[in-house]
Amino acid sequence: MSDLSPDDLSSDASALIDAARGGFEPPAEAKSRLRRGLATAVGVATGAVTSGAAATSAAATAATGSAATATGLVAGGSATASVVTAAGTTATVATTSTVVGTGIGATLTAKVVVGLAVAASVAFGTVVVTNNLDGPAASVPSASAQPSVAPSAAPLAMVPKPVAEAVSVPTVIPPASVALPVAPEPPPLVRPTAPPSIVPTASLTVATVAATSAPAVRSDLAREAEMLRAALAAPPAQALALLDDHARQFPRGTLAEERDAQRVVTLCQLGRRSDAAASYTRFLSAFPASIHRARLDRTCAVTP
Amino acid sequence: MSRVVNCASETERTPASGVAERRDGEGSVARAAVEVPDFDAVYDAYFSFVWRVTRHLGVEPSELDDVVQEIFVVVHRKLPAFEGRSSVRTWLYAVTRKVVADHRRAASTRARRTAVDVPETMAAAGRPDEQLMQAQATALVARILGGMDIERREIFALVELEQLSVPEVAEVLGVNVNTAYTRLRAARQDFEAALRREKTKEERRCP
Repeated sequence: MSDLSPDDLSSDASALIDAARGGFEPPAEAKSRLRRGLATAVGVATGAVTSGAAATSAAATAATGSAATATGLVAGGSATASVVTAAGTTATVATTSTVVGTGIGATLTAKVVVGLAVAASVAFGTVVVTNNLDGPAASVPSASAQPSVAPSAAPLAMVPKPVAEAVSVPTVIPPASVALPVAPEPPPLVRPTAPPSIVPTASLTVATVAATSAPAVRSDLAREAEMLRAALAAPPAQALALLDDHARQFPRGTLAEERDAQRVVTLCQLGRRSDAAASYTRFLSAFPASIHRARLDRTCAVTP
Repeated sequence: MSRVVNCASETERTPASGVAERRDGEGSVARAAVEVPDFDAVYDAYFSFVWRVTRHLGVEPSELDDVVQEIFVVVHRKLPAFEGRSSVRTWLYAVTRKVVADHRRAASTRARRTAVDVPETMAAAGRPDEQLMQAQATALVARILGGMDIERREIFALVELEQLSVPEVAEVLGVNVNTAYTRLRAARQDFEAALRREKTKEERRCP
């Protein structure tokens, strides 16, 4: 029965397998990171009504916004740059809703959505913005359906407030506070130029923003997104300076990953290949499981 | 046609409480027979397993997060229907295979790199040189696995890396035990051959 012997791996191979086994374990933080993401995804699976509806209408609004912008272009009213900006603004509204709805895992989800929105609105135009947002936005869960979400996201008071205020509420709100202390002088971080139809959707979510556990993320995220969007829209040399600004202000920002990814791309655009490669190496050590890898692997940082 | 109508009207005539009682009765019997595991408990106990076998099945490190998350979304959805006919682990593996296969189909339309990336795990908490050695060993094993036929890779990974017994793997894969042994033997030969090739390459590089 030596035919069926299960023990016929060479000692070399066995030793290699033994040495390798531990390396297949998930990274230390993967379990909790995915659990947060799962709260988002599973919330949908269990049928989140309120925030699901909010997300859907946010997505719909984003679609409308994009369509409207495209129409503007056809009408000959605006230059390409303004179309991009408008699409970006619309995308930000949808993003805000997502942050709100998730409560938990908000950082990750929001980051991805913002990343997509920012990248898409600049790189691929309005149609892609709509398509990309449809997915993530639709996967907003009912926070209350997830026990792990509990302390922060349970109260769902609906206080109608304009988007800009929602985003710029100061960072000192305690997690559980639902009553929305409006900032004394809220600098509008998202220009309230969005079509009026967006406001109700976004405002539905305002109170929950106040109730989420990381208020700092919210206002900073809007500023980060704004800066990154500017960098994406700028010519490479200027973009690099803007990315540096972002790095100074938000060294560990929510969008640090997107920023550093964009730096690689920008350095390539400037023809600084070795800098790009070095930048990419640093990027990989900081964000080994980044969703931007596939894209960056096609830049000059890797391929000649 | 008329039967359907009759059935429907009968149901309507049945007292609501009676229906509810009957359902409750059946439900509790089913619940007593099969302890449906709690999702959080399953997640906690099997996250690492699912992560590892997803890697073994050849999912790119950059896509692991997405695929593993998708697996647990499916697990969350299907767990209430878990019938306890197999172990939780076996059941989880079946879900994992299915999701990975779907993922692979979707991914095959995209450009695919065949080389497996250097592992990114920071799980090893040894000294740096130990970590490096482990990382290199893992990268090498992953690369060899990546070059193997999918069926052989699967059984090899389950037996050699996950250290499942061959009968258990046979059950997981839905093949008989002899087939499993035959496949495992072929997989081992593939692995050894690939390892020899890697070594030759290495020697040529640093004589």
